[in-house]
Amino acid sequence: MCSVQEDDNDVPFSKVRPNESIGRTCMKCQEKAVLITRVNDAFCRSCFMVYITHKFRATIGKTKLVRDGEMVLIALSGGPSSSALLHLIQEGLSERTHKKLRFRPGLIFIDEGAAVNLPSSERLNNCEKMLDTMRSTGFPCCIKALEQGFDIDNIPELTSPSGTCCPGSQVEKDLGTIDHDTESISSDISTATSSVTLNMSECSISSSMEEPCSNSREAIAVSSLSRVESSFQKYEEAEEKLRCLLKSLNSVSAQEDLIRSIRHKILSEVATTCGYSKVMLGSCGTRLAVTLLTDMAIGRGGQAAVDTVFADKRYKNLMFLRPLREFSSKEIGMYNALNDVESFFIPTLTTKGSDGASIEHLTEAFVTGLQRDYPSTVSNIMRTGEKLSTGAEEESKEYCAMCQSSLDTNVVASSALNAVQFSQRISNRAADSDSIIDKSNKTGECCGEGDGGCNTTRTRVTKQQVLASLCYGCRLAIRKIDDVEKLPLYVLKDVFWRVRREKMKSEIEEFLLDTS
Amino acid sequence: MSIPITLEFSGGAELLFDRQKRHDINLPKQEYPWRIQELLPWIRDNILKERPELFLQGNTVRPGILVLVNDTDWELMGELEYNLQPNDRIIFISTLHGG
Repeated sequence: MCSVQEDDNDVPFSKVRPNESIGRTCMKCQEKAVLITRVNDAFCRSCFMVYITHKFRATIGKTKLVRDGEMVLIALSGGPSSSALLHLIQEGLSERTHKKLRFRPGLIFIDEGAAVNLPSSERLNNCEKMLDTMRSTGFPCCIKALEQGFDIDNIPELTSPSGTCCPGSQVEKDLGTIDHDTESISSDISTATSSVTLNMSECSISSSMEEPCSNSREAIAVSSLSRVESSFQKYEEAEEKLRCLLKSLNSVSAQEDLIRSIRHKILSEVATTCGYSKVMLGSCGTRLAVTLLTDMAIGRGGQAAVDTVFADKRYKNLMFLRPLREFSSKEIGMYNALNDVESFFIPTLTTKGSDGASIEHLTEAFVTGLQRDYPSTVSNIMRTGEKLSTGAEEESKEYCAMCQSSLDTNVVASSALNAVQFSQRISNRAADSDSIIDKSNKTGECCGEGDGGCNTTRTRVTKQQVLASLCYGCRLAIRKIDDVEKLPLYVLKDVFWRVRREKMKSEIEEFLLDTS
Repeated sequence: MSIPITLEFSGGAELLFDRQKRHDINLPKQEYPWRIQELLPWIRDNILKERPELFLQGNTVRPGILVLVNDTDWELMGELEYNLQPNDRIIFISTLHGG
């Protein structure tokens, strides 16, 4: 037996009593300390900054994944962690830094207001604030709305304006450029919306990828009035779809899960079309520890490792990096407070909710509660998470149509998954085991691939077909959905493609058998 | 003599205070010195607008809310035992996801 010490003193460090910490000095330079971090380390302001900067650069540096001049997309939510990330990157790139960071950042903000039913005026306000922040950095930036995830794969021109990272390219020019700045855009929007009820998504158009140095005025002009109005309908529809989909899910946990998956899809889509090979996420260690435990609880145990490692390689040709994974939320909060880094408050589904509002929310209360009395909680969870591996990452070639992680559902007959499915089947037998299959075939449309000459029709996919293409976590999330057509198009297309492949395979198989 | 202090709420904590981030308040005079321990219930009774359980837990702040006294971690100031001084600036930052 491999026994770790079994003595009684093997308990986690608990917090030092408050009155023992009064007036402590910095453990490095003996100046007056301003905070206690890690388990019990007191730092003064300047030593804390050095410590944070060093840890940030070491996290990026030691993996040697980010190369010189590489384009990296920074995903901003406006919250404290991503604001701190942006600040750290700006510091790291500035001339006064001894060893500069050498990658080329681009910024993206995804407006998720539609998911929490935020009033459009507030969403517009958020987007404008974010746009101001992003433009003040001088990096190329873009804003997307969460509902745009529904249009991925659907309308090619959706991504093309943002796809042109070089400013003033043909696409943008064609859109009829009007020279104006943000203020006039907002006035444009308000005039546009005096006739129609305001939809936030205009803002997402008003800000395609832009290179602020040279042509920002021209690029921003994509939001000319006519365009705002023409695209207005499209987003309205997508927003409705998003609401509809979220409503049809049975729990807040499932909604959160779905939002996360759509968000990642948009990030990967923007990154791929704009030529970024890395995406940096602002998740801090505390957040990731919560994610790790939440994943276990929502049936994503197989993805818990990739969801929390530094480099998430589940997407092809794209890597998600988490450079703040070594930081606790306290360190982030202190960093922002001491540097006057402004962050916006963006409400989520569980804002002002009780602890049990969702699995994630409950897990967060659990982790932060433990963390208060035992300051090594988060790092313990993270270190344990690092050791997790399903061993399936390499061999599996099958991917979930929704979250792109490797499928964990291709398992042997004696697995827990099959047991679950079996008991589900038994309990639903009378009800609807077969009636779920929607046999009504919609005809008349081309599959949309290629030039349209393939003469195939895009039939409705059945719920069963969709479920078969999803990992266990995604299956759980959409289990209660009444109509799979509510899912984003990219999921349906992927499923449809798989179904066709499967069919083709079986046809070929027959053919081969006949000739042999 | 009353004690003037400044309270700031951010990171979502301001939602419980009518979305107002900064509060300049005067603590009424009392015989013994004001400590954070007494300040917290005072906040709850006087300026907190809703859901006290999202701000306080037991006699202290809810885990996940950072407290800074004059830009210094309150853990270095004795936490609940800290004696408030006139013109102190106390900041409450929620680090919880979604406030």
